[in-house]
Amino acid sequence: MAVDERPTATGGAGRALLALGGLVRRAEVSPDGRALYQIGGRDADTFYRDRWSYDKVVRSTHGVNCTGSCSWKVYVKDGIITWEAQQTDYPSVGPDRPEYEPRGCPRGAAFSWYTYSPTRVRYPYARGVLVQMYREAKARLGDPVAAWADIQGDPERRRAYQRARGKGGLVRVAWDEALEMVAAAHVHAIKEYGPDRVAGFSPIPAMSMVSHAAGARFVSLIGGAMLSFYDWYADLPVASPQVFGDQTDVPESGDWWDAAYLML
Amino acid sequence: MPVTRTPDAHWMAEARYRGQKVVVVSPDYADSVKFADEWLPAAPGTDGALAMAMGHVILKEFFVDRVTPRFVDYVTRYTDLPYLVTLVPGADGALRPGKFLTAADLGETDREAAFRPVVWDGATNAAAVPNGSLGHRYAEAGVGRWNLDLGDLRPTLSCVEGADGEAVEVELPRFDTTPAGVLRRGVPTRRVAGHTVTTVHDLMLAQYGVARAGLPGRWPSSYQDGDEPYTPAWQEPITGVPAAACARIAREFADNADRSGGRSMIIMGAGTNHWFHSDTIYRAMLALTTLTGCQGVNGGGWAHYVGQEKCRPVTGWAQLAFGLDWSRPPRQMIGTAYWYLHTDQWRYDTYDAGVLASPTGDGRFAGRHTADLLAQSARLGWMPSMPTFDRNPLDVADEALAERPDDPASYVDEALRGGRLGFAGQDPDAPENWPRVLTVWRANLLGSSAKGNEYFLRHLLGTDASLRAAEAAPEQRPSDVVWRDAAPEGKLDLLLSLDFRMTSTTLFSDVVLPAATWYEKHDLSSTDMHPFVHAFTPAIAPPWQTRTDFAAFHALARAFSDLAATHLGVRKDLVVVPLLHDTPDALATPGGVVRDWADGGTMPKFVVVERDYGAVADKMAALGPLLDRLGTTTKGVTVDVNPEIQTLARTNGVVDGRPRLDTDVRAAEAILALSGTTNGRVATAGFHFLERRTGTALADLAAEHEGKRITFADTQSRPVPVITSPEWSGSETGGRRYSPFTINTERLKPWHTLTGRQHFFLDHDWIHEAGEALPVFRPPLDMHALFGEPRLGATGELEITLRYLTPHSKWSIHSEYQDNLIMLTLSRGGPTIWISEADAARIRVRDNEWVEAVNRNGVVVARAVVSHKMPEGTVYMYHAQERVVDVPKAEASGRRGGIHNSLTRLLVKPTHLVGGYAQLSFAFNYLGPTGNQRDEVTVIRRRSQEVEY
Repeated sequence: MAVDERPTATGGAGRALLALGGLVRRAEVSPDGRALYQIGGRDADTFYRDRWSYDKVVRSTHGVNCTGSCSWKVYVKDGIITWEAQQTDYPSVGPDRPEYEPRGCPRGAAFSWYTYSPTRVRYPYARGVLVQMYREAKARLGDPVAAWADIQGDPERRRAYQRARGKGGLVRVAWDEALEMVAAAHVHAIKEYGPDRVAGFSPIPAMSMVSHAAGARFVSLIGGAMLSFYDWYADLPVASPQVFGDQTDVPESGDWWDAAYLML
Repeated sequence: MPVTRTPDAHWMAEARYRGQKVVVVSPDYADSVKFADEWLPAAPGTDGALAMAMGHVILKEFFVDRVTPRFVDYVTRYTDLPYLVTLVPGADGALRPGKFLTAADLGETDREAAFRPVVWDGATNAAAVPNGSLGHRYAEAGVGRWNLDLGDLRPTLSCVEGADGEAVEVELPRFDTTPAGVLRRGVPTRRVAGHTVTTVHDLMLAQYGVARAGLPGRWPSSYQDGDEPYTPAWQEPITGVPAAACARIAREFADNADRSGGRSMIIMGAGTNHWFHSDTIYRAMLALTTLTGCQGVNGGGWAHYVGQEKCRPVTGWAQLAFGLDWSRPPRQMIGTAYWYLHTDQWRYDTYDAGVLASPTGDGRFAGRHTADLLAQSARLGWMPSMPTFDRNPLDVADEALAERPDDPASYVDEALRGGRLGFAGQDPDAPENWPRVLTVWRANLLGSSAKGNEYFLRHLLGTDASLRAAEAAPEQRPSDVVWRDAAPEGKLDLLLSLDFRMTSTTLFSDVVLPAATWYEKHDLSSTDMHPFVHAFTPAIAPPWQTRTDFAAFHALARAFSDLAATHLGVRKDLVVVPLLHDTPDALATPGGVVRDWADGGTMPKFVVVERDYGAVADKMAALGPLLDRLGTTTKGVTVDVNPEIQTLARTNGVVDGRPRLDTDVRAAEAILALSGTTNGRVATAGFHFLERRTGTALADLAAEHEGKRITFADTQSRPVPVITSPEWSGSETGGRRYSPFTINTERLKPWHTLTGRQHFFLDHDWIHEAGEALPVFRPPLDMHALFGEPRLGATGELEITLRYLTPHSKWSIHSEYQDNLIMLTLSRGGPTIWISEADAARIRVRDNEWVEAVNRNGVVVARAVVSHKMPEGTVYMYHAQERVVDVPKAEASGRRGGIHNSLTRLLVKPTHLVGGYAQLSFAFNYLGPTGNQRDEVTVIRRRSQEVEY
């Protein structure tokens, strides 16, 4: 159960709700509400039945720049993702040769851990020292772009938040404020220096084409530069344009079956 | 293979039951080795030497000692081996390979003549111009002739038969010695149109050292001759692979290809592709698959796998991603050059680009800094440069339009030539030329790909770094690029990242937006390893305040448009475009002869684009009208997509008369509708377009699916096989397994190269300067010579200098999963460096003890994994172990942090900057300098076992 434990309204309400939940359980609940005791035989099996029960199965995949692109069954119980398992209904590769399934590996099978993990980014964050500067400048100047320009125009303040990079101090901000700051930074850079001083880096469109295209479309429409990744990753074999005049085109893995001699 | 291609590795295991032989070349006892029938443990970075020696065996045994009809037929039809090359004297009078002989040399005067290379026709005993070259691709006269049909032509592979020229010695470079040396070997020649010429085939035999009777020069006496490149005995001390094994495997590989009709395959990837000179390694390996007729054959050829590169519905994706439906051209930049300049790694290049040049070159790299070569590449329009000018391109556009409303491009051209306008790349440290806003999404730049991590931190971000390198001394600095005494720190105003987990990138960002995971959004996925597309579907709605990238960028566009409407309004923007591949720009540099501006050299193109800044959010959410008029163009194939636009208007609905793209599902529908792989009508129309140029039948390849439209709902229900399309080079027609270039070999469609064939020979001036006109062995860079790092194997008190490699691991995909609790329990649970038992003993390190790795680029702390799988002399730090789990403070810096890329940095190879010439022309992610990192070395030492966090 994902409950926010921080001392906020949500956290407090969450705790109250958890305590309430303890009252309706048909088992003994520990004082901190985090453990449930069900003793013996079939009663104890409930843990496993609950853990592996689900309301629905949804097909998805992983966008992690992995050539696997495996299809997965994602299991959901009470609106919570509980686990994932390999799909097996790939199109056939044809007669007289082995089929795709099963496909997947321990990494993909571990993905759902991230959903509710401590490392999950749940809210917009911004560098605290920058947020303070921005709020102060905006209160003084009234306009987001003027506020951003004011900070950038002051070498001391600019270096102060830059030096804080990587040293913690990220604070929660509202979506609206985060977007306003980011939008102001874009407008300021375009106005002051030019749209080609704005850049986007997002690699491997194939691993989630819509997510890539959404951001690249924004960057491109404002005149920003999208940065290449294939050559940057040193994954581009420059020999391919040199020899074939082609970025890279290669056999599907099912074609390995057709090879009589294979060197790696 | 089992580590990085886990779900596909079963095919290798299964094919072995069918009788397939598996040979693994790997420096360590890799997981794939246990599947192998034979293991060739080549030393790191020497695969090129092994491949060159195998090429020697194949050329000798299958082309010279015995002529293999299948191979000869294949290379005559599908490669440049029969093409004629001029031999030209160098400064000392010795002959060297020059340029392809072309129709221009035969006296033809049309613009494309220099792009129609020439063969010797054995049928008529005369020089002849085969169809299918670049010179046929765009010219009116080439309609119906851009194909590989030789007709009655019988190109001769060698100048031996019936030639009137004498045998002459040519000079060819060798790089296995220090300094690089020169080989002198003979080739038969002919006299054609006043030129002394030979064939690429004859040059290949000379290069590989395959002797023929009557030719002058020094040749290997046998396979056992270890002094003369490129024999099996020659490679043995370099690679460590026994000469006999090298020769036997080469023979088996070729013999199998002959008997099976080309079913010999080489799987390759990052292990060989991440070296500075990996293009030479690859060309040596591709020579094996091409000489033996395996390219364009199912079960044969190269199989290069690195990442999820293949966006099968590429056309639809490109229209949306680059906003081509609203304005063209988009701004696209080569990543490596961007980071090289803007993280100031160029300031730490202490070597002269001339050290990379060939002794047979004309010295054009000597005395030049890599940043100078980059500036020249931008100036000549070879590669893009961003930021482009030393001024705001919106202001440049205003000025150009005010001065010359009818021809603003000519104004910019003159301003640049006159020096009134400059390139930002010629003064990258000037504040007005810094990048200012960077958005990173679906990526972990600072935890995964940022070679030169500490340079990024210091110069781009302006925060603490463990960089220890010294800047270039005054005499080592660029001449065309301004050197500012104080290196900038903190160029970026804003680093924005979108992610669902805290990474090294989010930790350094100014603003972090919470993203939905892959179980929380609609999207599309495809790969190069499987011919299907399938969907992401949300299992739950994005929790907490997370949003999909789609929703986040549309919200950002709205916030931006609200501010921009008043602050920016409608502006004109001067976009600078490099000379592009798959366009007539590829004809910009006849003969690959480099001329700078003073000699009438090339320029990039200048295009004015209107930006209605208040309308960006609305444009994001609708398919723009430019598509109606211009259609889509992918790899030179243009398709009118009005039928698809009309369909999308009905299925997606309209806003202001345009199809809606305001939800992720509607965007996915547009991607699928506009691509040939997912829309049979588009594929068929594309093939019809090509047929007009090739004069050969192609459209039948997609005809079986002409009425098929793959919708998003289809991709959600199960993975859907794609349709054969001119977007790619292979065929899935009739349920066939995908193999590249089968359309080229079976339908005689040319490759997109100068000759239209696969190239062994490259004749651009800069390629000659590098000594890489032909396949050649270039060893790993010498970091002692270039940067003063300790020599390999040098030991100090409890420290040793070793090769530092960063391959991919079993416990993560890049940085993803390496911090996942479940995966951490399957490994050591934090950063590790793998080291051989012998090297560990030398510095008295026991398994799981803390070690520190230090070089000029930075420092990283990790636990040692002492393993017998590791070869002596090399350590592995598996790629993308981030600073988020169990990273203590380093003794060398006193700072916490340091990741695998703290020890790496960028080194730009000049030949990757070539553009504007045939297949050596820029396209986004098609050509550009690689961000290689494999040549690095590090000092490893046992450190205090008391660690602090």
